[in-house]
Amino acid sequence: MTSDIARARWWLAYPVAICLLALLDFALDFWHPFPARLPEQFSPAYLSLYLRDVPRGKPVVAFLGDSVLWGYKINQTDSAVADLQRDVPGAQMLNLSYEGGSIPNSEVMLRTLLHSGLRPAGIVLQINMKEFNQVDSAYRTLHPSLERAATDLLTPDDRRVLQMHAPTDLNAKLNRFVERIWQFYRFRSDLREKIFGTDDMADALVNAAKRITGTAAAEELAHRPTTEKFLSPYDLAPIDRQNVGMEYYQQLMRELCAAKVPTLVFLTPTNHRLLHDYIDVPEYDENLRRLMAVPHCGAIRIVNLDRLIPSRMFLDNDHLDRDGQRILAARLLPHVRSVAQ
Amino acid sequence: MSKRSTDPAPTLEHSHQLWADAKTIITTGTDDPVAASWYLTKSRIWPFIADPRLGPAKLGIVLFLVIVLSVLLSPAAESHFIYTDF
Repeated sequence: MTSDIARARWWLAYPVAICLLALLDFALDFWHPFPARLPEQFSPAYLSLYLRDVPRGKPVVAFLGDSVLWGYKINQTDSAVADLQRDVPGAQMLNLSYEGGSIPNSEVMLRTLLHSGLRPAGIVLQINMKEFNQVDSAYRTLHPSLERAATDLLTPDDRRVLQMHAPTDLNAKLNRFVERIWQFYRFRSDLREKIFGTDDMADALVNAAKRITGTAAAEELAHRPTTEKFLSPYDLAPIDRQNVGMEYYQQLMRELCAAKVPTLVFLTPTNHRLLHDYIDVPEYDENLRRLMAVPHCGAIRIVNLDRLIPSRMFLDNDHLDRDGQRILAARLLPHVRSVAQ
Repeated sequence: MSKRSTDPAPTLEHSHQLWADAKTIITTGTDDPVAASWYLTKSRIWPFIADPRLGPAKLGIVLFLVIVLSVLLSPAAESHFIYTDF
């Protein structure tokens, strides 16, 4: 028996394993997730898949923005975009906003969207005043996955103005090589988030331990929004043309006009009760006027929703709770209905 | 002056007791993780594979599972973004 085992063709294990891996990749071809919004840690491959799998046959309304439109700290079915999907079932909402968005992110995302061949019937663009501040970590930084997905679309000017973070070391090159030939590896961060509900198993275990020990509840309490926590995101210096956010905002307007896509641009609702001492000043309103007055064509309408939502419907400085999202959705509804027809 | 914790430090005996109570210890009969792993490999995985006819295919399946699980269970380092919100 032992000699039989020794004589067995053990090398066959390798082709068997490779065949199974190929089968797994083949099965992944049938994976068509189209959630109501992008996951927290979407990969470049997932973004391409998300854009490729948009249900055709219905007018598409694309949403570009940050965590406010994404629906920070609320279920994806409770976001304003999900509300609009329920209100206008005849159109397909495409929520391309994500946590850590900014104006350059929205601009590059628009380029990626148009380059994918998808022509939306309408666009809703969220402009958040705090992202014109140089201290904002996304002020001149693209989401790593967007940066990689849009590598070929970035111009020399983009590379000069934005801080590129995609690693180019040997490890990154090896990762990209494996990603090119192995689909399962390409989707590894998306699959981990799908399975564990967070970035990876380690985080899932830490979160579970925090829930059991009560640390999670204590941290939640410590995160209670106070004025001091949210003052630094707002810079009251005049937003001028040298501002990276303004540069990309103007570029967005030019691209939207060239694409002739009916667009509603809205200035993000802000919690004026929380930030009263700091932003209820003429300089803040002057900056709002500057954002409203950016040159644009007839296909674009800019509305100021800065004071739309009552303070009790905010989770912090700008993120909305379920009721706040409903009010925002109601305000966006006429535009979505008009482009959906 | 820093405040000292009044909680007693966990003793080696206490840690050993916790480990000794674990199901793996009872199954493998050792509190050495390396010896326990080797015991489980010999007693559980090898009998599954040790078959002159189907052994290579079974080993291929084990290899496949090891590769897939190592990708899924490894820590995420690909796309961490510094959130701006807090």
